[in-house]
Amino acid sequence: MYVDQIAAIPDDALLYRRAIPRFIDWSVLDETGAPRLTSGCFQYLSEEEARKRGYSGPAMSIGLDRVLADLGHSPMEMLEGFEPTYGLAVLRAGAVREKHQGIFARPTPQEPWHGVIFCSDDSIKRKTLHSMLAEIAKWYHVPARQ
Amino acid sequence: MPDSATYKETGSELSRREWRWSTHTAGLGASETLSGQVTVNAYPSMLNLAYSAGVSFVRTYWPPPWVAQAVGELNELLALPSGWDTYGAPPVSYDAADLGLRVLTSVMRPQSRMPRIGPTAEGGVSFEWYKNGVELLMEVTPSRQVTAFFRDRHTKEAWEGDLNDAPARFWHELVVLSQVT
Repeated sequence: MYVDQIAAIPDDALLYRRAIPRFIDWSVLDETGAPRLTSGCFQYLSEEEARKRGYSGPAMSIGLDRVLADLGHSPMEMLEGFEPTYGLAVLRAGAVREKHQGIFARPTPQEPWHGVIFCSDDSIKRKTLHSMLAEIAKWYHVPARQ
Repeated sequence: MPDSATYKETGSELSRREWRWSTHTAGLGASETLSGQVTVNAYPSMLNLAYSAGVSFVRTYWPPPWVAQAVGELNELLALPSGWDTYGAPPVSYDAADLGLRVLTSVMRPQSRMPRIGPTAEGGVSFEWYKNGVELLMEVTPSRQVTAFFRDRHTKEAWEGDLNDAPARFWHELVVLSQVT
């Protein structure tokens, strides 16, 4: 079972998510000229895919700011090795929890800052959730235009 | 890229209207194709074809401009490696891409605006239209389920479910969002 790690990941913690070019909509720009983050950026793993990875249900990978900082890394470390057309979105943990999501750390050998967002309310439909996360996400790093 | 489509109507199959995209296979690997029949139900201008009992005929048309782009983008999705999302997503399923093209063809009109075509985290394909805070999505899963979604960020109205159960608001938004402006 997932457990929301509220103490380790407080509401003011920042959660980073890589945005691949295909999910960045350059046809819709905000007032700063940044492109729209689409729902596709925030897709949860399906139940089946999640279980393959040892998760107990649908979830979405993120990077945890505090772990990155503790390791002496900038969030930009998450884009290391990716093309400049990849961006980095950021979510505030508290805003994610307001959407009935939980968060826990799940370090991997490649990404010790890796964490997971999971749905703590099964009544929330998946695509609605993706859309809500896309709406509250901000850009941490706007990518180069493809 | 497809350069023509063939419409066939025969005496024994008067009620069937089939489009055969003659060059769907272009650009695909040897082991994958997008060939096949695409059923079209949104071409009223095609319904006025003359018909003579017992006579079969074939007419060739240029396909709508978005078809070549859609096929090209679906081919690109099929070429994505495992982990394309940087988070370990599986490759896009051929079945999903194939059915996705059929679904797209069934809801688009010749002059429709192309949706954004993307992969899903489970290996399916998605078609997204967005305008002024209204988001519309159709998805096809690797197991060939077709789902639909819309959400209005201003009113917070949202719906998702099987495409066959989509409410009138979904179809209304599809018409609005797929219009070329």
